[in-house]
Amino acid sequence: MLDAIFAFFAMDGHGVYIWSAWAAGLLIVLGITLRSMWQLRASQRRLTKLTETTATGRDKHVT
Amino acid sequence: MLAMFDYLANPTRFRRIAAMVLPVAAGISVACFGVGLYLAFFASPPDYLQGETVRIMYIHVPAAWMALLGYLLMAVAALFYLVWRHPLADIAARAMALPGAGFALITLISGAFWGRPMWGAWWVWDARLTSMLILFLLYVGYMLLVDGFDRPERGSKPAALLLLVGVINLPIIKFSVDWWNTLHQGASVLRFVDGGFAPSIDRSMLLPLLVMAVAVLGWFIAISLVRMQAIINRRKLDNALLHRHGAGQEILHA
Repeated sequence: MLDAIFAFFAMDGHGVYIWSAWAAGLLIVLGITLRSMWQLRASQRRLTKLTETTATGRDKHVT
Repeated sequence: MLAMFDYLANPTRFRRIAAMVLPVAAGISVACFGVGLYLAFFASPPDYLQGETVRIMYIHVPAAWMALLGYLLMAVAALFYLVWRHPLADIAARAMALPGAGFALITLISGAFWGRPMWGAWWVWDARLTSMLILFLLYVGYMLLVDGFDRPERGSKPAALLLLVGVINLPIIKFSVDWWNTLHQGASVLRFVDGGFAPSIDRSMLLPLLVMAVAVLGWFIAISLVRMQAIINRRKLDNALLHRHGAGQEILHA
């Protein structure tokens, strides 16, 4: 059982290349996902803050 | 003024559409990614020549397809923007740049990890690899150019022109393996045989490739929509701040 798992990850001696390629891909995809979602959330927060301050008449320090 | 109202009206409609499309695209992407991983690592055989390293193909090739398609979509958006001046087209192009660049980079990195065991080299300066590197640099150049101005809208036109000029690189990438001698293998998913296009790779390898391609496309759509909404929000903020500080508005528009 354990041998089968090791054999799977070894990938006939090419495991390092195969897993590195996939890891790099996943890392880039994950990084862009998190960054994009964070940017959207930050812009939404600033926008709600802006409308709130507009409603209460305070118009300084909105950023 | 009219243009501004038009612009403010459209994003509302866009937001409604995005709210519907985004969860569907993200869901399809996650589901296909799970299935694609299983097919790529468990249900597909090692290649008769390349052995297990063929499993790099299932990330390398879909990423390359998406990098090319992403650039094409950006160029179409740029054309829309230049001809009809639609701000949403400009926003779409800006939003697609980072995920597109990401896929170009994944293609280059996964290709290097494939080239090392198969060709004995991480990198060679041949036509396919170099033209793919140029695609990545076009993405990076676009991002630097479009955001390189004090007022964000100023970058839109020059960056859109850069995108259109860069389209010439797409057929060069596609046909580089036919036009020049290269270490890179030729097209094998769709090959012209006996008067028609037919896949020349086995179904057990074609299926994970296509499933991964759908996963990649779903992610690209979802992330682009997220990024478009963030850009729209930022523009609303900029506009609101400009109108508030009336004097500043004149200076910035001059």
